Amino acid sequence: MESMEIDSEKVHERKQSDYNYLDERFEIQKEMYRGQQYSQIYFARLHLMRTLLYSLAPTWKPHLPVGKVLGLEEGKECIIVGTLFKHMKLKPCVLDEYSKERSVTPLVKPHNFMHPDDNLILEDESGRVKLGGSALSPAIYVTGVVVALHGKETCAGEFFVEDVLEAGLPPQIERPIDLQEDKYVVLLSGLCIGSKSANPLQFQLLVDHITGHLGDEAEQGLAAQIVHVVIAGNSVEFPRKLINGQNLASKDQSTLYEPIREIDIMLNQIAAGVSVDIMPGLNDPANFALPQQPLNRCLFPGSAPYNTFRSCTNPHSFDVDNIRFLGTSGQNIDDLDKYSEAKSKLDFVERTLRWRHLAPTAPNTLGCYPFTDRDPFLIETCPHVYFVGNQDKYDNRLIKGSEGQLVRLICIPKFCETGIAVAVNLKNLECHTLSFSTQIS
Amino acid sequence: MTLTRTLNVLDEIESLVSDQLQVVSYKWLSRNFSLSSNTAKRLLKDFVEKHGKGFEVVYIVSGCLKNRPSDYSVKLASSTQLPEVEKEFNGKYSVHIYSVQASIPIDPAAIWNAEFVQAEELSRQPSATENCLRGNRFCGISNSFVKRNIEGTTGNVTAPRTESVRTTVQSKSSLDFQKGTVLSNQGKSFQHSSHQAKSETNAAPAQNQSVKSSSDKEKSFPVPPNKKNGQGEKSVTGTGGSLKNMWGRVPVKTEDKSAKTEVKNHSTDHSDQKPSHDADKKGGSDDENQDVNFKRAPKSENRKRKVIFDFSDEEYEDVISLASPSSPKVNSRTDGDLNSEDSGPEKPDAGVSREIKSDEQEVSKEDREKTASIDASTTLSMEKIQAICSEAEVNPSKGRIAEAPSLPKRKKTLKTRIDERGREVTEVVWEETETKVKKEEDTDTNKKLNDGKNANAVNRAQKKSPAIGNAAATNIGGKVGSKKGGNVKDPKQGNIMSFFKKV
Repeated sequence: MESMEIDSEKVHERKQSDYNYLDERFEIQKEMYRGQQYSQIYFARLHLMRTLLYSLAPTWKPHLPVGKVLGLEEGKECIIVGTLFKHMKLKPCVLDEYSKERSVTPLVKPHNFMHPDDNLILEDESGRVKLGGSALSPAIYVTGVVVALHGKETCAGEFFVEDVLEAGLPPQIERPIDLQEDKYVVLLSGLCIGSKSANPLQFQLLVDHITGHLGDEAEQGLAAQIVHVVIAGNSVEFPRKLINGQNLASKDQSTLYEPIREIDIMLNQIAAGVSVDIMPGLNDPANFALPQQPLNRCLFPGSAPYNTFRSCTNPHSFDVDNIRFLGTSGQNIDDLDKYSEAKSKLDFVERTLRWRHLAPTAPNTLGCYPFTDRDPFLIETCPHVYFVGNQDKYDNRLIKGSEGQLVRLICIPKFCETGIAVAVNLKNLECHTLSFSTQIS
Repeated sequence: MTLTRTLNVLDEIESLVSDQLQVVSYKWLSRNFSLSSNTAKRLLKDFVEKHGKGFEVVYIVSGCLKNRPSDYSVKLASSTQLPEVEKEFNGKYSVHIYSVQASIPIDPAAIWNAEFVQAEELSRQPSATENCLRGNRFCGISNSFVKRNIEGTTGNVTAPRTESVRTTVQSKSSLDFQKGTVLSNQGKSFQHSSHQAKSETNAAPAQNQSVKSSSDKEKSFPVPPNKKNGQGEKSVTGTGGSLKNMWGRVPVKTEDKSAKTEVKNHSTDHSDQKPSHDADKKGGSDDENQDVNFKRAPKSENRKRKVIFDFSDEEYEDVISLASPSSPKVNSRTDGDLNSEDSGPEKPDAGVSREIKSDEQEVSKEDREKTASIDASTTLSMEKIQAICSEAEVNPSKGRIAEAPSLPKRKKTLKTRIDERGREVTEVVWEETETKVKKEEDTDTNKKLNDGKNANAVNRAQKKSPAIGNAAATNIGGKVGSKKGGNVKDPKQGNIMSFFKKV
């Protein structure tokens, strides 16, 4: 019986591609916490970015001197480089929150803390100066961005900004141009297994499609072109009421474990067919501070044995066939959304790329590990695909850099809400969606 | 598929759907009857054609939508919705039957339940079993590059992969070890801890014994440094039931018995130390030694204990004999496919073990001599036990002597001589056969203990029948020895070996 079926059916061979794992810089196993505070990561950031900006300044405005904040003289035009600090009236202060309610704070609802009175200050190791002028809009910038400013000091002691220089897109490795065939990388996020809004049938349909069960042979042939799958965060969602500091009853314990078991079985099905990466997100059982460390392999006893299964950090960086991917589970963009504004999420994404920093608000308002000698969020090489997970809707954009860089920016929507996953074609960086709907009544 | 089989399956589907009210999706069908997904879909189609009335069908329409031609879309539709849904698609789209059921549930996710239950069952099968969930064999895409590592991937990250190959008995034992619940397990864990703690020293006597004892070929005393974790213990104890082997073996091997009894006796003492031992797995033997010493400090008597583990030969061919000069031998254990993962932890320990080895070489040599001189190779040698107990780090096994357990008249004599390495060796020699080698080390604090214990042992032995004989052993061994003596007091009772004979 089996042989008959095989003869009459065509079994497609899945396409293969090279994969390179580039997450070492986001791993913190080697870091040692000695009680340090965050000044060192800021210093590392300033130092590296300043070197870069100093090298760019001569081409930008060659006639101007570059100096430190403390060396400002009134009326003298110059360029200063430093870290921006945005003073925000409405920014929540932990002390206020503590005094208001002394209990476990529930999830902070995303809320924008902007106010018309917000102002920017430039800071370097020598001093800080308030920024004025309209060239620099506080609505766009956030604390932690390193920029070069051209302007002069006013008699009021402010620095009047005339022009801003951002670092711009980092250099990019040439994309290989010889990819003949279509190969796809599927990106999805926000499965939220275990939450009320998650529809397991939807995810099962996606898994069936990726692994080649769904559809007719032609469609299975299309699915065979998927070479990699990335799950960008928030794969599980635990019932909040169980996590309140009390000991769990044994039946609650199994309830707590159910989502993990389900995701493991689903990942097992995927990993049995195609290479899959799973990144931790805000709601996943991983650490809170960025860079989030990989989910423990023990959580996935069924999937971990596969050589195709990889548990990755958040942010996550990897190469497929020499196409560089960089992405996060969304915390960085969500934080930007709270402290600045833009017309679309992709604007935030593009800004982070132009500022060459994945998460400028870390560690100010975004949890972050106090690195001492480096800032791992600096983007040194421009990716070809830059994705952000757990967004509200799907969006993508192709941006071009000043040196010919070409980057596809992708906002991956939450799968539990939209049923949409994104597929990127490695040949031409084009992307399309895979959508699954289960409305049958 | 043969026609009969097809019909059978269709009938089964019918009964499932109508009698058991189960949702039969094509995935479920394919897994249950070992069909490919495409065949399962065809079957469902046949089923609907035959029995269509009376069942609800859920179709799956997949393709590109008209308004979004580049995006791939998949929609489920009931039979009533199907025409409308089909209109949304353009060009080539496919319609298959997703599932048949008695009635359409309100929550679409209920359609998925039966399939998931099936998947759960498949995932619960032992990790080594290959099944259709794990192999993904019924889909339309094959991928030959997917590999599934069955060995030791779950659980202890530090455990060398090969360990997991061992049977579940071992894993249990290692788990128990961690909990320290059962005595036998404790015994095992004791071995383990002692492995960790005193890999070198313990190994030395053990190995010496093995060297000496003709029956003991190797110690499955796998480089203790290498297996320093709970799972490492697995390898140590060999495949399942090594603890049992331990006991069963005693009659056969003189040293084994003593080692094992020693182990047993000590296990309780050391049980509290186990967890910490577990904890510092790869710290390197030095750390462990320190740790052990620290823990053992309160029990001064235990300081000098040594555990000698004689494991069955069957598992380990080249058991590391510390007596032999090459610690590479330790590392070259081939049992259980030690892979390079062990090499890491092995290295530091190997180094340490080397040092010890040098010390113990003499012992082993001496032991060998002694062994040669001893005719009775009755396994249970108290001395061995005592040797086990004896000096922690440096002193190699003292009691490498196999003595005839039942010699009526024995007179203990202490002989001091200089051995080939210039060490002063005090031997307690029983007139008949027993000899004890006691190594005197420079820093030998054991000596006193040993002496004391020896005296005790001797006394006791003299009191009781010399069945044990080995009472001459050192220190703690002495205690154990006395215990043993207690066990076999009456010469008429026969061989001490019988006590330890396998049932």
